[in-house]
Amino acid sequence: MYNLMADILINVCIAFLAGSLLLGLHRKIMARVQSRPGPPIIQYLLHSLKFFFKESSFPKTVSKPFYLAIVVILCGIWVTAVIVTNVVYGSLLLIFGIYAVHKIVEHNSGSSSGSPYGKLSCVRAVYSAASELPLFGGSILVLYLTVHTMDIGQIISYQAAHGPLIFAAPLAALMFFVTIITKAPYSPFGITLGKDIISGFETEHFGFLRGFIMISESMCWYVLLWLFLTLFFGPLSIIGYVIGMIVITCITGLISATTPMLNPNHSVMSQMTITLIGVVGSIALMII
Amino acid sequence: MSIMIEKLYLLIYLIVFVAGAICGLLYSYQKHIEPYVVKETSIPILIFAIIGWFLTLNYGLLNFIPHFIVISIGLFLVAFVLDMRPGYGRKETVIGIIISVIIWFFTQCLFNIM
Amino acid sequence: MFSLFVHEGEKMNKTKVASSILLVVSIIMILYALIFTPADWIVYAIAIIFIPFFILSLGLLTMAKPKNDEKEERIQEPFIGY
Repeated sequence: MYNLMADILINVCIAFLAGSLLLGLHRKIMARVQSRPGPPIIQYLLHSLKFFFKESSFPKTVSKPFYLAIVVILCGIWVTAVIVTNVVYGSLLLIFGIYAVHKIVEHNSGSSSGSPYGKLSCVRAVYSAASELPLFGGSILVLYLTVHTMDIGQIISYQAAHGPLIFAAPLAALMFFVTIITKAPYSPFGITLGKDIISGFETEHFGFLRGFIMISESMCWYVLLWLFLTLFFGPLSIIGYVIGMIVITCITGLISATTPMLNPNHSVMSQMTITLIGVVGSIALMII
Repeated sequence: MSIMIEKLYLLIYLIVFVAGAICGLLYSYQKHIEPYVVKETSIPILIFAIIGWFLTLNYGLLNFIPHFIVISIGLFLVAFVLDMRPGYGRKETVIGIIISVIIWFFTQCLFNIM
Repeated sequence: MFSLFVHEGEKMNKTKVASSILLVVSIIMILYALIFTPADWIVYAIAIIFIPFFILSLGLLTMAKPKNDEKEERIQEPFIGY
């Protein structure tokens, strides 16, 4: 008999484990491109577990409920995203809302701790949110204009009947792919976590809270990759998803290894340019 | 319901992969004291790699054991070799993949001819 | 001397007691949703609220404790060393 809670728990565990292994693979690919052996593939998972049992003290400048709540909210929203995508095949608008809240969490982690590095990252996160949300929103908008629905289940049925959407809406796929690149570690758009501010908004969340953030980020990576494959490559089997996720992770690893980190202005301008080209170009393609 | 069972299998494969990777890491750090410098292929690890990749890709040939057990054992051995101390399991993994893919091609062609 | 020890113990125990209660409540709610299969929206609410709280409380209970002489430093002056 179908048990909804068991389905949710299985999907959350898969999201955590698969996301961690994929992020470890990303780091391995980056290292191999740079002619280094790199860490083992499970390194991300081992780090998450190691941090989980380390000490996490609360500096006197933090606002303690906020400092803890922000980390709980980050996990809550990505558990919601796993439910909306893998269990219910629900609406893309909810995913857009979750992504927006994720940006807010990045911003607020920086400001909740009272650290000067966190505050600087918080300001940079405002820039990045202003450019990444239109990028993701533009991709969903073009998808809506192509298939006239925001429901993931209906998009899957549409693709079963009409073929993969990557051919019908290639610019939407490009915008979604650039969104995935922005979420990758060491990405060209990763200025909020630049080394000049140590680790940006994550600086003051150390120890067990850092392990918790890493767990939520691995679920985020899995959900975004799953969405990309589902929305643009049609109904896939589990093997299809596994191979697709490994391929996307290898491509983002290659991109992260070979590109410099753009400063906030360049990062915002390049993302806005891609959004403009994507949306205007798709509308032009539909009219012509 | 069937999707849930498939996802349950996927979760078990992931857990087995992680377990194999941890075992490989522990074993290779005990055995190899220095980082990867000497380029030699170790025979037991090569055998593990070949068996692991063979079981993962060609599970259809062993019909008397349920598929999910075969793939689990295969994935454990694959992760054991893949995730040794960085630099060590590379040649063995590549040889294992090549042999398994060749066997897979031959069995597929044989089935198609028959 | 004894009263000082008890006071220290009480301050530390507040977090531990709160985390233990949260852990037990999260496990009970998740098991309730697993065994009794209530309406869908209740299961979603339990999953979204109590899975993160479960991980949080587990982490707060299992995290390492600092040595007493270093603890004061880490809370009062956190930016030394940057």
